Amino acid sequence: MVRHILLSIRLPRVVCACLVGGALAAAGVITQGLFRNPLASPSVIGISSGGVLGAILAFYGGLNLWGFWALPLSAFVGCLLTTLVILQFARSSKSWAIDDLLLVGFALNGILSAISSFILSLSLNEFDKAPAMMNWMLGTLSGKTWEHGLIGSGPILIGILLSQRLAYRFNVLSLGNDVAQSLGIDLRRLRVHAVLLISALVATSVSIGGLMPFIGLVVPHFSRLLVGPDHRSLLLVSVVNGMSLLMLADLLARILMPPQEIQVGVLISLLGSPFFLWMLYQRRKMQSL
Amino acid sequence: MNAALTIQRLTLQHEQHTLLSDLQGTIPEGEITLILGPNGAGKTLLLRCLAGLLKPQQGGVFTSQGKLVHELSRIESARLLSWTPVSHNLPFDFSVLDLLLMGRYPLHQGYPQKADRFFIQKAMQRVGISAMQDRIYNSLSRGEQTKVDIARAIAADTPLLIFDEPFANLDIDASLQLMDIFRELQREGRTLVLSHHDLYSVRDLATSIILMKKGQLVASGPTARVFTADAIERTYDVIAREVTDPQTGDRFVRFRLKDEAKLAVFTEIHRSQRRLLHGVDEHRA
Repeated sequence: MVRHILLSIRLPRVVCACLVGGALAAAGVITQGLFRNPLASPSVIGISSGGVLGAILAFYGGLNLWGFWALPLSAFVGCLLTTLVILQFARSSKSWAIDDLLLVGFALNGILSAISSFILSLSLNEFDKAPAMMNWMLGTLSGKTWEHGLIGSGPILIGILLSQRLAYRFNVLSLGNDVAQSLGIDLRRLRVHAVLLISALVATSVSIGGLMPFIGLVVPHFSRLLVGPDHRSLLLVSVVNGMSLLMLADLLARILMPPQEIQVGVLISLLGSPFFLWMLYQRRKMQSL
Repeated sequence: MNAALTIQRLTLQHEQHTLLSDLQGTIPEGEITLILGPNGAGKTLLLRCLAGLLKPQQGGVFTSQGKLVHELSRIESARLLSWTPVSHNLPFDFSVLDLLLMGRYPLHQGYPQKADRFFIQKAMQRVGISAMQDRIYNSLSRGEQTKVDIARAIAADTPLLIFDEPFANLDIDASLQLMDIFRELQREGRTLVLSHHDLYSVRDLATSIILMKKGQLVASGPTARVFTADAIERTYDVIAREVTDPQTGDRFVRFRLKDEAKLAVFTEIHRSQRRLLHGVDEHRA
């Protein structure tokens, strides 16, 4: 019995936590590199919300009955579209300052979350849909099986490996678009690759566990304090830290209020938001020097 | 005298504004060319065209092989020239050493070798920043950042080096030291192009100059021929006059303000240019 609980309930959940945590941390590192801003992350600028909305729309429209891949694919499309919209703002000739871009992301995040909530409210009476949608929006790992882990592991591991290959280019990109371009970086290609990778990583993690905010923000930031800004070491360390963080958070979410389980996404938001404020405060302090 | 770059009928437009119109000129190989002009003249835009970063609507900049700079492959262009904008803070806390290694990206493609570190050490010694190699770039003063940027360009080891206002943040002794470094690079056979604002030091530094005003060419050619009181009056709103130093026999140009009210005219053009100048690069430091 104990063996069964351990192997078929606890262990797959731990594996899923690792996968989701690692994927979001890696996506966070690439997002920050792409936008050249340590305050960017997939959840802060709305990429995760785009994924959740994609999944919820698919669910609402009954696309999940078409086949197993319908939901992850819709999440992927949601992430991709959101990232492209933000990137379009970044590239328009009106020259958005990088901090303003974050605000664009915030606004987008608000819109996407609102649409998700609206769809949820439409289906509140449908007892087969509402709880599942709620879980996506709040983020939970409860009830995850080996199947989730197995299917998610492919895109996530490949995504992390490919990100590692791009890592040094994000170092060069931080010198500025012009200098990076003159050093032989193909900006367009790098952006396209980064957007695809972020979308794939976030979409897979959303498909497994729903919205897990702040991991992509907090983990790269802490890892940077540990190993410095070089994206090559940063990515690896962030992935490991992201795995550990979500595993721990999931453990806490499970045991803090027995027999009730807290949604791990909610727990992370609760801890992550003050941290984000602290980062903003530190940044202001540096700037006022 | 060969031309490292030739500017032919270059016109650059953005939305409805013509930012550079019909520029002509040459960047002679193995010489130091200064680009001079008041604020808003389009110096940085011209430099970015020379570096192949902007695609002009008409004409263009040709290499000595007759190819357009902005159509060179990324590798060709990175091996030909280095581009150094005015220094600005980076989004992440990279060390000076990290930054210099990035400057050699075209050569090591992300896998730095012993040779890369050797070139970097040499470049740091030349600019006198060896002691700073582990410092965080963002923690340096603007003047120190400029030196690091210049070391990055030197370490990249390209035949053509393009700098935007390298003297902007430097004090007098650092400026003189930098001039020596530039002359030394020239003696090695490299070609340098710099935008510049200090007219007093022009004769000491440049062998060739390009004078611009409001996106148009005023004059270009060897310094001795082009850098005259008349050309300066046509470029800047000043009264200029040539003087010979009775002791050394050096010729130089003195100038004073003609009409202060005219200063306001430049700001209008300047605003529309700034967007292109900084693109999305503009970081709020």
